[in-house]
Amino acid sequence: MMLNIALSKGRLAKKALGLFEKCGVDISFVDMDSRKLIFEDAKQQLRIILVKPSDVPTYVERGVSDIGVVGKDTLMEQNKRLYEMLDLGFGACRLCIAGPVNKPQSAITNANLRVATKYPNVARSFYSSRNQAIDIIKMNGSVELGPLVGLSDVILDIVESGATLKENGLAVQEEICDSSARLVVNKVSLKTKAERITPLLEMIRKALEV
Amino acid sequence: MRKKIIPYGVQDYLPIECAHKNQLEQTILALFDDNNYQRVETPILEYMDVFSTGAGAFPQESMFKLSDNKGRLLVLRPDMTMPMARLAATKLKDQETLRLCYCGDIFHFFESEDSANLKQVTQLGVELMGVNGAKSDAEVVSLAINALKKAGLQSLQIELGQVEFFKGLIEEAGLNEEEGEAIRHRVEQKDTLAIELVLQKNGISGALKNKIMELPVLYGGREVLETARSYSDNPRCIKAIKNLESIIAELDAMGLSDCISIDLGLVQSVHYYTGMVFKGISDKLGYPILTGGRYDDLVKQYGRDIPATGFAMGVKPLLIALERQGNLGGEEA
Repeated sequence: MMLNIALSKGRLAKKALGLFEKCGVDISFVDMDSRKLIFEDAKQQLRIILVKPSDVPTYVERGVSDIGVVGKDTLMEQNKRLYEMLDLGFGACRLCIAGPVNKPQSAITNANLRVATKYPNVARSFYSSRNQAIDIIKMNGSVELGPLVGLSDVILDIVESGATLKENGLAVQEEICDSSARLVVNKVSLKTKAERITPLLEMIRKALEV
Repeated sequence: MRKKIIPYGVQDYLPIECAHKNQLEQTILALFDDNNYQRVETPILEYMDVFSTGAGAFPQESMFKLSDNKGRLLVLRPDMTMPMARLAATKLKDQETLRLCYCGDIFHFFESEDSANLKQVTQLGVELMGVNGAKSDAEVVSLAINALKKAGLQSLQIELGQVEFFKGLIEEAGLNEEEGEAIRHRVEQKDTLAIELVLQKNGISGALKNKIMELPVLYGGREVLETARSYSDNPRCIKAIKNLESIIAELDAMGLSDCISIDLGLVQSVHYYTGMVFKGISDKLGYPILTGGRYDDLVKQYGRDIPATGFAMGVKPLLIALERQGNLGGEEA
């Protein structure tokens, strides 16, 4: 029975593979330096694909991958129907609202707070929970530019060290929540491939405790 | 001009697929008929009120809306069970026990462009209304198993749950509906970490906290029922376990319990369901083919207080699973 795993290309994938190795999985068939996107090991009946982080939940929800490793921030934004089973601890960051450190007072204000973000759904639910009207400006990167060039009043983004914010004259105004890598499982696979997935989960749980 | 295209989320069925679809529908409807389930048809257009209030209500934004000539809101039906409950409480109120079946399309309005769901879905299903007890639940589950088998589905699995087990724990914790809902959502995702946070926020600790946090992992074979029983002294939870045991005993007697597994973390749409719940899955498909359960409080919303249980299956998911296993023709597995 083939087990399909989707990993977020980049740092998270490296950490996830390290964790699998600790759990006794032979990961030598995965060559992170190559440009291949799919790695298969017939002996272990294991197939690992490397995808864009924001695509991991889609692969797992639709059952093309049985298991995925992806950041909590991405899961919050997409709200897919998945089992979110383990907090792997690595990839830690915070989802924050940040704005300019020294913003000049202005007499004419916007009725809608302009929020630049890669996480429009998180922004919508965060501000609607406090009944604040906002204008969401969906960005795909370099969100910090928003307030600097007058595109937005604040940004909602993940913050790791805060260095990027600081260098761009921004500061965290509010923390929304913590994020880290999660192990997600397809809702059907957990049951139909239980003999593969249950022992793996158990080993990962043990490895995380150490 | 959009004269030559169809909207996102709906589809044409061309001759080959259409033939398979019709054949499958006829095969399963014939099985329902053999088991004395009477087929009914209800309109695609209904008043929005049928679906928009009470337990299991559909959010406004999830329905396709129109209005009649008096300006009253109509919807394309988003569900088949509610019209069946409406019938049972009105036009069929003289029938003490109702065995109804249907084959029809439901409609869901999806905002997202990236949805795994179609907007128009053909469902086949049965409702057994007016009777209570494990026997009637087992009847419905057995019909689901037999329908999937008759369709030719191999490696089918039925996951059984019981929402009363969950509700018992929430009651014991003294949580209100909103807090219970927050936990239900997390249990449904098997997100133990988030459950712990919600429980901490509500000051729940000790043995009860551990029990609730066990919910996501209470799945597997029948041994799960033993485990669940061993740590619950809550009468509501024990009753739920006993109910599942009785249902499984009935299925055993019919020789159908091979494909049964247990998941006490199965708590989808807990408002609507009041007892046993189940899902039909296959290793050929990443999402369920059928869902069902007991819904004793639904028919009363239409004016007749009778218990009920039933299931609905998606014709399209079943067709996909059959094609993937290579016997779309529908021969017996």
